[in-house]
Amino acid sequence: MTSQRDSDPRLSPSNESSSETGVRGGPTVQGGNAQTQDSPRESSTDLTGTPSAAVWAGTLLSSIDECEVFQLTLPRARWLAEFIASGALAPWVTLDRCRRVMDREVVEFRIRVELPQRRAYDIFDEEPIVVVIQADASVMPEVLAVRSDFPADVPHRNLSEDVRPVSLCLYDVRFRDIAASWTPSRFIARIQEWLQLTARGELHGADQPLEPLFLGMPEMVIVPHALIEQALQAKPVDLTQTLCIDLRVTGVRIDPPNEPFRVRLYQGAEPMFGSTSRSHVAIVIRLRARTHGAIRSTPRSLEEVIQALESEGDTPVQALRARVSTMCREQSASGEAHVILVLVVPVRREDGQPVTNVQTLTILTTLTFEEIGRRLGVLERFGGVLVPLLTPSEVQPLNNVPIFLAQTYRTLTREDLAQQQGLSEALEHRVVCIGAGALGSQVIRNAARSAAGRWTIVDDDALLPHNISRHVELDGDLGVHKALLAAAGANCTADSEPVHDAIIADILTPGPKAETVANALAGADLLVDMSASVTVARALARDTAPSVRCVSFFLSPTGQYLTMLAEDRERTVSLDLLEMQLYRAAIESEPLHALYTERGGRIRYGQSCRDISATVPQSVIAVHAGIATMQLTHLLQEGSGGGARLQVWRLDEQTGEVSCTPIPAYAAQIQRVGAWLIVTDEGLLTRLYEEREAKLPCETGGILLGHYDFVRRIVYIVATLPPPADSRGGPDRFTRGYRGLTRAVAAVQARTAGQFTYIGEWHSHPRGCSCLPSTPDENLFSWIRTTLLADCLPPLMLIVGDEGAVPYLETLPADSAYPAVFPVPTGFSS
Amino acid sequence: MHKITIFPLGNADTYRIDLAGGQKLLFDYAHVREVNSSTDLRCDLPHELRVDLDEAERAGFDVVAFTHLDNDHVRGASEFFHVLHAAKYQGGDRIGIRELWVPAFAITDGDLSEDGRVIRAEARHRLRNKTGIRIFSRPEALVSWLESEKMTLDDVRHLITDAGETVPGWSAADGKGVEFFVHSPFSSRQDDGTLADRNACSLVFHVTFTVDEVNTTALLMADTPWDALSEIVRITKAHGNESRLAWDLVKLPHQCSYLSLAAEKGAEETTPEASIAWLYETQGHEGAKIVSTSTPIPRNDDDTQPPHRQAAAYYRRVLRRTYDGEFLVTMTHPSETAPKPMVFRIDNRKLTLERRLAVMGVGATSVAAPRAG
Repeated sequence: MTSQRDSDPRLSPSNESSSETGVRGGPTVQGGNAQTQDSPRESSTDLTGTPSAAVWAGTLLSSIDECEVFQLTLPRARWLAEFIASGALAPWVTLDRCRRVMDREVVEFRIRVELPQRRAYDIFDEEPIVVVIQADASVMPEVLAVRSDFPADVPHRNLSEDVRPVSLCLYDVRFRDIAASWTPSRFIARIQEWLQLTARGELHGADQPLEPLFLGMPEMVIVPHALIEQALQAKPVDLTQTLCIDLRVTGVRIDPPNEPFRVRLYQGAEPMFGSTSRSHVAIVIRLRARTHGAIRSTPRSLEEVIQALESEGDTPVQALRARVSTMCREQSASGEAHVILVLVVPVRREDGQPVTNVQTLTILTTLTFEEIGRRLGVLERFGGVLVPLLTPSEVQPLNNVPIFLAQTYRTLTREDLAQQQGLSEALEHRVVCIGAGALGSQVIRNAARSAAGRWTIVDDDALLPHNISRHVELDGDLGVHKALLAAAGANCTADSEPVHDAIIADILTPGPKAETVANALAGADLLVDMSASVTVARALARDTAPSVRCVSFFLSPTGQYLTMLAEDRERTVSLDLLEMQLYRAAIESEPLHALYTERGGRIRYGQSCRDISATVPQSVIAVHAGIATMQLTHLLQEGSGGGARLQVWRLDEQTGEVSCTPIPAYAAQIQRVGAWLIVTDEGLLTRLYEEREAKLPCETGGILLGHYDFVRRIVYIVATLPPPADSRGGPDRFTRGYRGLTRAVAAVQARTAGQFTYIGEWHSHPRGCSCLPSTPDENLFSWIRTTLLADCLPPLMLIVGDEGAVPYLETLPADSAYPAVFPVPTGFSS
Repeated sequence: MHKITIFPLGNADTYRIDLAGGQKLLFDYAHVREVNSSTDLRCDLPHELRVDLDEAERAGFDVVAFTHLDNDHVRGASEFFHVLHAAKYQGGDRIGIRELWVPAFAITDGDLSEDGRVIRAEARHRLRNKTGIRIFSRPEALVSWLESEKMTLDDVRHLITDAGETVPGWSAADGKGVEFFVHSPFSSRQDDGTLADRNACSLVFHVTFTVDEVNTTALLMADTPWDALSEIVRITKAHGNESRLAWDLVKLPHQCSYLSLAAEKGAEETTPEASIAWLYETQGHEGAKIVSTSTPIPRNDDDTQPPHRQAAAYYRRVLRRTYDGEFLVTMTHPSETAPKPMVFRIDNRKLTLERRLAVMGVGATSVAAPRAG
């Protein structure tokens, strides 16, 4: 080959004499050329190499393949050549020549590249490019950078048999996915972009496995990430030495048992499906840290692997000999087991910099452990027993040992999960989850997949057949506790130590698990209630009183609505109060009127109004589970300022549209009167004062709507209705009318699934008056008492005046003292 | 990312600096293209500038600097810019100037073209109003003009930047990622100890761009003759300011004239005066670029006017031998038959000369969108 200088495009960017020789057909190929001369391969039929590169290299020797543009017959080749020849890309792209080689066609051109002054890889101002187009239009045109000293260690190159020419890996999708939109201009633009980004060191995905485009490596090996980490940290942590790691792979699982070979290596844990076998043994070798990948050409024999490694200063033979001896001594490998070599390659960006990346290469050998030990001269069989030799003999040739490079995949860590889901880091908050039903099981699995939280799942149900249709678990798990299944499934989302666990208990009656539950709650950052039980939510809010922020997610009976009740971090607006404010919104907000309507329009009554009916499609649950997971992730990421939130999502099953109704969450106002706790909120008080203000100097009033909790003796005063049209008010009196009121209250009960009922009366006192009951008020109260006591309900009358809203419950006070006062809301003068 | 765009205008100068923060600075204005000519390869400067301003939704420049008022640096300016001193040159789609930068002699000197006179009048107007103006010179050089205007130096001192200083508002401390250091106009001490103003000298800036703590430096010269350049080097070294002579990019003075290197042209290659040789041969950085704002370098000496092939030969040799750099000529970039504005992007990988394939936007359209699964 002629000297290198004349092919340096920096010095002579173009117009080199084309009359030189046929060799000038393309830029010189340093190594590849010599090899081609020595041992011309059956290039076009050699399926183990990069055929296009071989074709191209083979044509170097003669110019008889050259042809004119119009002689090209393959559509893409012709289109490409004609487009470049048209000058449309001048002066950046210049056609050199075309060739026809057997059933392939070759277009050679030079492309000028945008280079930064400071380059990461030594891409030149002008690069000679060869595109090889195969007759089979489903094969991507291969792009070769053919400059003799084109950097061979660039990321995103196709693995080829020789180091050069470098075959550019242009796309990270399969060619069939872009074939339909392939045009010469896009293709060339992508080539230029590849070169430019490579020059800047910004071509993304440098850690992706080398693309086995033409080699078609069907073999796959899945390596536990922990093994790679342990290999990196294995002592001595001297990354200038080759080290066979004392790491035991406890088993391999091979699926299916025949070709192609797909292997997962295990350490410790056993696979969920199938079983591990000892038919293979893995040896992990940590190579010296380097600034580029381990192997840049495709070795075909074990000898070539070793040569490639030794050329980089590694000492694989020495390391292997020691390790094989040890394994034999420890009897950690059977002689018949086939050997898999796992090469762990610490990669640093620049010399002297810390290791920032790790590459993993797996080599499948055709040798058994015994054979490899014998060839390495360290094992021998004495009396039928395989033993290590005290004095190793010579290493036997390994060049007739074929090997296969396998695509190597590393299992995922929680950080990987988070990254893939767009989180900046795995969220390590402790989450206690009540309920692993239809919604719960799916939210837990979703959250686990994005490493959002470390979950403890509390549930005492077992998986039953009717659950399967809307649950992440499957038929094979029937009869197992949902909590166990949920935790196990969550733990299987990453290859890590288990971080999720289960408590099989009913949160309300944990029995012997009481302490376990209490400990879990004490250590929790967030309590997620997906029990679909109002009782549970009330208990969480009122009884267990954990110091941890609670959030409830539940679906409406039709599955159409998803509700989130999220307490503020300080728990000043607790779950029960949020529940009441949700009911109020269902009365007052038109989009929520149908919140508790059942499929078919039937209204549902009763305490278990969070149960979904039997006919909700899984697709609907999946949508809501997705939304709930997003919200949970937000809650976990919220800083200390997380306020209370009340939101309802409505899914339109026809259009798929989801609309969100945010409902303001008002601060609680709580007063004790006698044995009762009276709970109301700023929202209602504001409304009452607005109505009073509007009617001043006259009085006004209306009925009160709310909810009783007889167990905890709580009256929730939550809503009112506008005074009926026949109500009469004056400066010193108010008479609440009745027209339409019964129908209105029935509607309230329907919209709240019977949760809201009539609980009493309120009226305003004008300015300057106290909130003590007047004589007519006393009469009113005894009328209320008569009416409600008939229903075993405590009578309630609320007087709204200058000094605040004063509740009278069960009895009127004997003295002239207020039993309790709710303060005048801000913005209303007293 | 910052950007420098140098326009192909034959033997005339205009370039624009776009800062990462959105500020736009224009240096000179030479609308030289024959309107309606189909063979004139020089770019339609007002069109190029307007399109760019429209893209950025801007109606004017933060700075317009006139290095001096010769015709090939101001031609057409009176039709393009909105000036404050005369209604005749206002309104329509004229382009605004927030701050005008001129050397002092643009205020004081006579004998100008129409465009030069308009710019001089505008500079004087702004100086009288003490706003929107920066004058480059030794302050004392303006004293007599100020006296004739019944103004004192103290009135306008804050609007004057002397050689050896950085431009207020445009230095490293101002957070724009750029610093302008002024080399010229300058004054030099004579044998008798007095200072003589080199007022005939046009503006010369040394610009430092900073991105992610990586500096890229540009030496932007106008029509600087060799003896002035030599003196700039000498004075700057004497003040220990060598770093203000380091360069990744040089915008050559005077269209690659040998007279910016030495008094003698030389047969095949100009031999520069010693301190100029020091500047070019030792102060550049790896991968540096030198730009000649000129017509293609001739192959012979038929034309005595610049560009001169002997000067180009010198620059090319230095760049190739010392810096693996590149010598560029505006009228041959990217090709002699179709010159286009020369765009340098400046980022943490220093200079990148833009090479856009004309056919389409590269990037999103050239790859399949990734499918999430």
